[in-house]
Amino acid sequence: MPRFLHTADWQIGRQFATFDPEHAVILAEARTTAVERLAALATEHQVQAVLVAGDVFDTQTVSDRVIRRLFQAMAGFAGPWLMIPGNHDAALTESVWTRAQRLGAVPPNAHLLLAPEVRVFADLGFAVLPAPLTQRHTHGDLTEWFDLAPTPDGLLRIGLGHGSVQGILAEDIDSANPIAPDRPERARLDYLALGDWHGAKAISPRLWYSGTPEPDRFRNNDAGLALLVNIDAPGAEPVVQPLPVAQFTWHSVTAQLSVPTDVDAVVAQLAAFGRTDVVDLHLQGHTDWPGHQRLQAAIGQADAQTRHLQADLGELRMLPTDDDMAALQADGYLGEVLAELRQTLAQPASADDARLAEDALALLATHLAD
Amino acid sequence: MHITRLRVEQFRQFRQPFELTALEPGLNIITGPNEAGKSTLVRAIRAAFFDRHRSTVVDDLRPWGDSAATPTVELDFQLLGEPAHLVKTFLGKKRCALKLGARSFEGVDAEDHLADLLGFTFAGKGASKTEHWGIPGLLWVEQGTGQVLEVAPARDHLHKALSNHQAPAGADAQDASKGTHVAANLAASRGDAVLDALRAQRGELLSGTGKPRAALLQAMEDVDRLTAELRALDEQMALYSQQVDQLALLRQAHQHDDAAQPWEALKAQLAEAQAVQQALAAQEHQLAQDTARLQQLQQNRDLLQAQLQAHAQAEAALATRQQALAALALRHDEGEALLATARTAAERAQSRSAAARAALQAARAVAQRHSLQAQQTEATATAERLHHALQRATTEHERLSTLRAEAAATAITPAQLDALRQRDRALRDATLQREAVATRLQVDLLPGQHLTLDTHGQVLTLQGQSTHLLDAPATLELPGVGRLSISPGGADLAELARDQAQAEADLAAALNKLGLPNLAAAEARQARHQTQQSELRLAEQALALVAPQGLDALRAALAQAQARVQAATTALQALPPLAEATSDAVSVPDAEALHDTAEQAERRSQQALSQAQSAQAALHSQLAAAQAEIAAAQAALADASHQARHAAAQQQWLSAQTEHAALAARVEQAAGALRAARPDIVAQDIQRLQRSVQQLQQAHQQRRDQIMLLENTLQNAKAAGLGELREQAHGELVRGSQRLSQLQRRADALNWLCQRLDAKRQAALTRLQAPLQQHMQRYLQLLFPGGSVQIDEHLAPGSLTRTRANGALETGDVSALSFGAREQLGLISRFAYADLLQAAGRPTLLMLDDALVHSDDTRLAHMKRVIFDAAQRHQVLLFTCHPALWRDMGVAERALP
Repeated sequence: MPRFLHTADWQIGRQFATFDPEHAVILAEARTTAVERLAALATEHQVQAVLVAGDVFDTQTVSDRVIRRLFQAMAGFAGPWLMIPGNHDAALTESVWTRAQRLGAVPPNAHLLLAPEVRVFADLGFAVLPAPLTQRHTHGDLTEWFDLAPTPDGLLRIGLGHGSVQGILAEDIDSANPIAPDRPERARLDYLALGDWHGAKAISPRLWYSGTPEPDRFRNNDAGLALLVNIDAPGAEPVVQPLPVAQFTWHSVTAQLSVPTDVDAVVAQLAAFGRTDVVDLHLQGHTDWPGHQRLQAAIGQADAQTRHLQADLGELRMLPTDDDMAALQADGYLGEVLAELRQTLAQPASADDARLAEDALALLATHLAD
Repeated sequence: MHITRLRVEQFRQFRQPFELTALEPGLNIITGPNEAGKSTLVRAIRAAFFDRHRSTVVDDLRPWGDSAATPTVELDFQLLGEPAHLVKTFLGKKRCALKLGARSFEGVDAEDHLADLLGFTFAGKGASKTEHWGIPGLLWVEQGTGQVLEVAPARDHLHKALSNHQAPAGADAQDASKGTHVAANLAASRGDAVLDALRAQRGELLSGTGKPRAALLQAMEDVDRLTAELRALDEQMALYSQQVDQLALLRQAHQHDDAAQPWEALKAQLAEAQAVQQALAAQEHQLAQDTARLQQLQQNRDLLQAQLQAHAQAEAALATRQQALAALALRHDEGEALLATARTAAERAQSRSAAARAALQAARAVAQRHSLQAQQTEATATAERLHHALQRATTEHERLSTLRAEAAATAITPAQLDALRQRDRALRDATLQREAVATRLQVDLLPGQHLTLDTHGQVLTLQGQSTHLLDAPATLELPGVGRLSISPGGADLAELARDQAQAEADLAAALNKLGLPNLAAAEARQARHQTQQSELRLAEQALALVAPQGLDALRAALAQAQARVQAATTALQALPPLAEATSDAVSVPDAEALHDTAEQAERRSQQALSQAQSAQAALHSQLAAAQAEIAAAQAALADASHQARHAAAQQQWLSAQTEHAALAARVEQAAGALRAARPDIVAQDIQRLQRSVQQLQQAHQQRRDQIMLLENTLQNAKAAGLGELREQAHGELVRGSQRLSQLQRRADALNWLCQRLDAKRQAALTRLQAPLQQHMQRYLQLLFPGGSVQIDEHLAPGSLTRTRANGALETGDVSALSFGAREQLGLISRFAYADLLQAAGRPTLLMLDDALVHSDDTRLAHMKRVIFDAAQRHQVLLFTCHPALWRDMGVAERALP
């Protein structure tokens, strides 16, 4: 019974350079180790082939070392790896693929499907119809030729594509590289393995996005999986089983703060994160001075215990209460300035004013607390 | 606040209880000599408030030598409208009790309560010090410290006292609100420290003028640098992408060309055009040949035509010549006739001329003979006359010569005679003079006797009688006797002697020259010479009559005349004998006239003949030439070959004419066709197509080169890792920007805070300074009328402006004033503080220990008024050892024992 492992969007060479360098290195490395796990899974499940639906590399200009490292990571599976280029690593005249070939880094079992032509794996019982991107963006459906492409009878027709299924994933995806949603039917495909969408998603029984095996974005979709695809025979409906692959989980935490208990909730949420979590925290609303200090403390704590934490408090206003002010014990002209700051925070003329007042208040409070 | 009673016991020198009672709410003057205990009382009051009753460092309170003493202070006072009683015992029996109205406080509570009300603190450990004393420390002036005004230790307490103030019940509402206002604006208790800290932090990021520095500046520079790096990397990547795209395009184009070979179609067009060009070239060649042939034909035809024309001309010329020949022959015949006539006339004139010449010769011969005969006669007569004249002249001449010789012998000139006469006279004068001077030696010797006179080396033998004039030393030899030496006297004797001798010599020389013996002879010769001269003149006249030209001229004339005679004679003899026939026929002039006429006629006829002969000769020659030419021309025309050539030429001309016309038509047609075919455009077509083909192929080749170059470039490009580098740069930039943003925010906040705090602080200070200054001014007017004082930021008098004696204002720093003046201002400041505190409802008590000892009388008088004024509102305890100075304060002094 033919069986495949469907994956895509490895984005090898992605840097996370805006992160703390210590984390960035680990997260970048995790992308390659994910491939090692994919190889292990493929071997474990004895698949006929691994289908890699594009965006293997994050950019055309990754270093030679990264290229070599990737193909070495695939060594755990001796069967065929069927790889097509995506928009990030399109098969241009001169591309990461040509470079990999020049380097001699590509093992014989890695099939680089750089041209839209049928590849027959008769002994394995399938034929592959690849729709590689040969330009960075294309506005035509590259899978269209599948419809008229003949394959030997009795073999599965497996499509490989990279792009955006029309009308399904309209939002957050540019409309380039469109793919018709009924392509499997029109081209009599048993399965069309797609890449580009970083979460696992079934468009139709024969049309799946596998998502990236190792998340790289703060988007709460089903990222970090690979799909184990079982197809009994040509024409049979595939049975698709998602397998976890990811090492790290990416979280996007957004909270609207208004009462002290809201702060408690956020603090608790932050406390729950651990070493394999990558967190993007976005807080809005307002809090009092102690709440703000607790949040800061919790963020500091979480920053230390997660793989990466980035906090955006730009839309969170700190509004000190009367008690906060009294506790500062500011008198004389200090008191006057504090009162002015509080007034500004209560009714800021602009976001900049509010931020300035907040910063100033924090500074002043720090000194008064000494 | 005012103290009503003070009691001490076992307190320093007050071993026994001592009590001050019924202290006034205003001024109290406590006097006493040194060591009387004034300062001890002051210390007691301080101890009552400032020192913990439990303090172990107050041994100084104990009387000397009494280690078991329990120093005790007891105070009764009014505090904020309530009666208060404080008892404090130190050391031996530590105790503190305060009753305030109905309330009682014990121990530390009592102390702290008082401290809170009065505004001071206790030392945490050890002795109480200035910095703990707060407001009382400011208002209580210790001995000798009036000039020191340190507000700082009191500052917090001032603030607290004033800001915590609640308007006391029943107090004036306006005062209360004013007090609150003042209090609320007093400087923050920790403000300056916080502000300093914030400034320091601001200084870490911003310069004094607000420019970024240190970490902030570094962050900015980092961001700039990273931005530039990122841009560079982006450009590099863009270039890479662009080159990749270019490579794709080039390969596509190259493959397309390889497949389509677009230059082949052009090559076909080119071949076609080249064929057309070749055909046109052939046409052109034919045309050129035809044109050349046409030109040859034309030349040929022209030559033939010239030949025919020459023949016609020759025939016409022959006819003309024959006509001319006939005319010439006619003229020749006429010339012959004329020549004959001329010849006849010439012969006649010749014969006539010969006859005339013969007649002339005959006439001339007769005339010559006659002339010669006349000449011979005249010459003979002349010769005869001249011969006679010569004879006479010769005679005369000889006589004259004789006379002249005689005259010459006697010749003497009058000048010579005069000279002789003069010299003779000079000699006589000299002789006379010498004789007159010279020593006269008259000798009269007996005869026979002689003397020898030796003078001038000349020895004279004197005899007889003689006189000698001695003009020189002389020796007279007297024979037998001896010698006499005579030396003539007189100075010029010698000179006179020389003059005489000279004159004598001169005369002698002149005479000698003339050959005369003396002057008389000369006179005689002159007379004779004059006679001879007269005779000579007569003889000369006689000779001139005969031969006026001289003798030689006469002789020459004679010779001439004789020669003429001879010549005439010879000529006559040479003449031919006279012909008889021709005698007397014609005269010579007539014959000459006839001869001339005949000769002229002959010359004219000869000329006419000569002209006729040359004219005739020319005609003859012309005639002969014309005849020869005609003969030649006729012969040429009549030549058979010439005739044949002429006929052939006529034939050829006709055929050439025909052929030329045909060929010309053909050439014109061919040229027209060629023009219509536009070979230039065809050539352009070929050029254009050739270039197009070349360009297409070249482009193809270039593209292939470009592809190889690009492939090479891309493979060698640093594409590997560029993406990572770019991501890293981007990450660094994002992180750098975050850091910059954080630092900038911090800097902005610090900057804002510092500015606002500064402004607020300044405003608070200003608000606080104003009432303080107002109070101070009130007292200052008493001390320095018209003066004013400025409060500095430490709330102490900073500078003073006052009127000088001359009325001018002067301003100066208070610290520069004299000790006395500073003390005066220090007291005034304290009074002002007291007023301020009182206005805020705070308790006030002023203590002056031995104050103003350095003030002069005038100032002291002023200060007394100040103190008196202050004492109207505050209790003032004034301790002094100079009671006399304070007797005018209107209060009774309290003298210590």
